[in-house]
Amino acid sequence: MTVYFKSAADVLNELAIHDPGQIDVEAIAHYCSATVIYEPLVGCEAHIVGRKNRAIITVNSSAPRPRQRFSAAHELGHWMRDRGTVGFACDKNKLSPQQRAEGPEHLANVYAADLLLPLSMFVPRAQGRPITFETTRALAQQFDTSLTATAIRLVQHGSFPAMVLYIDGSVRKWSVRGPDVPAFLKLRDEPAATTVAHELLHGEQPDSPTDVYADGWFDHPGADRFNLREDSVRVGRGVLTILWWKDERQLLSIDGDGDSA
Amino acid sequence: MPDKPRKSDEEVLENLMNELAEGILEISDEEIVAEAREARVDPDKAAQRVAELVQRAIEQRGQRKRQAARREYEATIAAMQKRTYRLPDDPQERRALLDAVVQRYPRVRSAVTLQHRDLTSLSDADVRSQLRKLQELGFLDADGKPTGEGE
Repeated sequence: MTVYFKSAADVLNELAIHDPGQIDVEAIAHYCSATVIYEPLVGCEAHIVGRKNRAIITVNSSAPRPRQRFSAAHELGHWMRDRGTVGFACDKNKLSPQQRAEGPEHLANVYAADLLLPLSMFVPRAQGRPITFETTRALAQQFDTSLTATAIRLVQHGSFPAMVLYIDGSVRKWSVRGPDVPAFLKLRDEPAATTVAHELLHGEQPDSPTDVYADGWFDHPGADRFNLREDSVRVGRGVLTILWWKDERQLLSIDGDGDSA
Repeated sequence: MPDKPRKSDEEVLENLMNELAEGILEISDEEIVAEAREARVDPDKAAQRVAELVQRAIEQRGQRKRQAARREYEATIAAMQKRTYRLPDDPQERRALLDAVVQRYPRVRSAVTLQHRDLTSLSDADVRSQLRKLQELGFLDADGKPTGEGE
């Protein structure tokens, strides 16, 4: 069996793409033998049907353009890994970070992020910038990507410790932490009343970003003695939140036993 | 004795380039640098200029591929919009045809049924759209009959 897989970085290199404005997702998909078409879809954001060396990716024509791009790139990720007779239909859940690591949907999401927000272009533009939605919006505009996909990239590859999470109703749907945020910091099931997200979820219009006590977000002994910067915005029915340890010492001072160093 | 056939300009040039290349391969790096200095050429600058030329050529090639991909994509979309797909006239027959393809190729099922468990919840417009794509990909032949052995 011929293995066709090409990484997103390899495809971008072959097409000499070095600037976010050059990431033409339809042309890239076509270069990889997948034709992107747009149609109204109900119940899913995109789907792909492939046979032998050709595929057709159908993307929801009524979705916002950044989501359409991500959906097309996600389906292309499926195609690059499972070329041949293939069929996937992907809804919003499959395009979100709540997918099981190393599962096909997670891998397709990684492929989409690598294609639309390549690190070689993203990291220099994110370097040293505050981990807030103001930065996220500016980067999302440059890369023509959604706020959510860009925020995830920013906390993973920005210059400071941060995490991003999404709450729908009062339930946390998913969270992504940057590499410097220790796993022992356990998120509370629901944000406390002292958080901006809580206020937003209850219909208030608080100032954001703002400094909040860490115990509003984390179940950790001594968290009430530390603070972090919270930026929360309404996205769809829920709230998207970035937590940024602007003062990195606040993070370094917490250890795994719950004692401050 | 007949004259040898005259070489074309391209052949002459190719031979000359080959001999030059062989000549260059036979001399050491130090000799090349020394010769360049003798000819008042800065070897570092010359190397940089060549590297830039190579990089520019790679960039231009990538750019041409990208532009070609965009053109071909637009041509493919236009051709798909113009193409006439031969499908059954009767909606029930179209649905049965889609079902037959899905039975034959279970791996395309979730994409074709848009994640629904069965085809009954699909509108006729969805069924037509899916059949056109399946025909475009060769799951159906030009007469709208399922092809291949299946999976």
